[in-house]
Amino acid sequence: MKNYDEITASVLQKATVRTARIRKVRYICTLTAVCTACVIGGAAFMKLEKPEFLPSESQTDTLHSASDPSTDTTTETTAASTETSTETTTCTTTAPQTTEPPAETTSSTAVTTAAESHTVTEISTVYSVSSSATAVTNVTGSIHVWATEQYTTRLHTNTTVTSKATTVKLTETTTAETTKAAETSTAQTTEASSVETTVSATETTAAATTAMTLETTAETANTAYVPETNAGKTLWDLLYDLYRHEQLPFRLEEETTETSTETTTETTTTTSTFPAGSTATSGTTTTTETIANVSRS
Amino acid sequence: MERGIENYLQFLRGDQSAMRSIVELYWDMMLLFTNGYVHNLSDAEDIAQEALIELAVRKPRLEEEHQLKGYLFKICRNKSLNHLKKYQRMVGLSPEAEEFIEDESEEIEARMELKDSRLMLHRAMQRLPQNYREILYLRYFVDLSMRDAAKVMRITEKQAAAVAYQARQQLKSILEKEGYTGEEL
Repeated sequence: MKNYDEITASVLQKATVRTARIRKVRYICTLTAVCTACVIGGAAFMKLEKPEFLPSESQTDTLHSASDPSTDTTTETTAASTETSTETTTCTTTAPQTTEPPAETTSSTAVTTAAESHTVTEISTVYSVSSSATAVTNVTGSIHVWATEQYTTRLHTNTTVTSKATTVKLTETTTAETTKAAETSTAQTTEASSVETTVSATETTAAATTAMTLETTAETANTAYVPETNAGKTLWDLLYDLYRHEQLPFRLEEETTETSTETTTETTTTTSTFPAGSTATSGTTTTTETIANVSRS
Repeated sequence: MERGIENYLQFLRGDQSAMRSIVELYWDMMLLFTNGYVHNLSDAEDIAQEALIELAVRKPRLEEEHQLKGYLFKICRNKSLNHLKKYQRMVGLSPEAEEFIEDESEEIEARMELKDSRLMLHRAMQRLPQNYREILYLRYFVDLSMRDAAKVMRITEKQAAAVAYQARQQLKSILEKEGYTGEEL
């Protein structure tokens, strides 16, 4: 039988060994738990969905490629609203004063008068087209509107268009013919009034107006815009509603080959008499105003 | 403060020699206690040694003497029961082995300096059932309170009191049969 000293020595030795073993096991368990937690946390972090950042402009340009390639005809109409960005015009034009020579009295302040075609000048006022137009980006087509520089519309069509060639114009129209007519007609005006439209010859179909139309020209002569039945129709309707309102200083003018134009002409006659002895001659002034016509298909 | 808990507190402070005092105080009682379960002195030594090792490794917070005793004997009981479960199949001992064990028991009893009455009582308790023997041993040999004895046995205090009463009754009958009056108990 053991004595007390042997028992004590045996107890202390075994206690030391067992304490060391427990510490080692605790250390390994703690290390394993920490490593496991780090691995699990890292794996969960990698699996998290990263937020989608706002697409860049190049990505937005590629939105249009989602259409059906088989019957898809993409028509891209661009309109340069500011071919002459340096020239500014106002929507309201004032009639020239009587003291000025008639030749100078042209209500159209468009600079590019030599061109027959519609000259697009800078739109002085900024319309809230961009905000509304860009809101339609959920459609297959997208509209990027810059009030000052360039206006671009890209519309997708599912059908081939051969019959109609439709252009949407947003321009301040001044033509050479209308300018000449204005020169002849405004010479007779005596009153200074602010009118939105200039006097133009009645025989001209193109109205000498300061109507603002958003001009989007088709890329080719053959391609024409036909609104899509699905998404393009919505876009088209939105544009149409935005610009066709009569109270707006501009008007959306849609020209098609099959359109008919309506022209209304109002003729006002003003008679002014001058007291005797005045140098001015009495006469009758005839002012013809041509209301802007609206072309609709 | 009693010696056992003082030595233990010294051991906690780092005094390794205090463990010898603890062994000297409780070794024999632990040995007899576990021997009552396993009926094998060598196994009882191992179990008692394990109890002291547990005390040295875990280093529980003990402040009273009865807490120290209860802790040691609780470990001894649990390990004894585990040992019995592990070796349910009791191997029959040869008469020489049994005689050897009995000799060692006597040596332990001599070392404990049990009086004749207590020695007779101890030998008479060997005939009692295990739980009876256990409660009586904890109460009268280890000098634990009924509450501490109940904690060691994992029973309530009332149950421990009931078991102790029944154990005394049965022990009394055994002692009367052997011609012991039991006046000193």
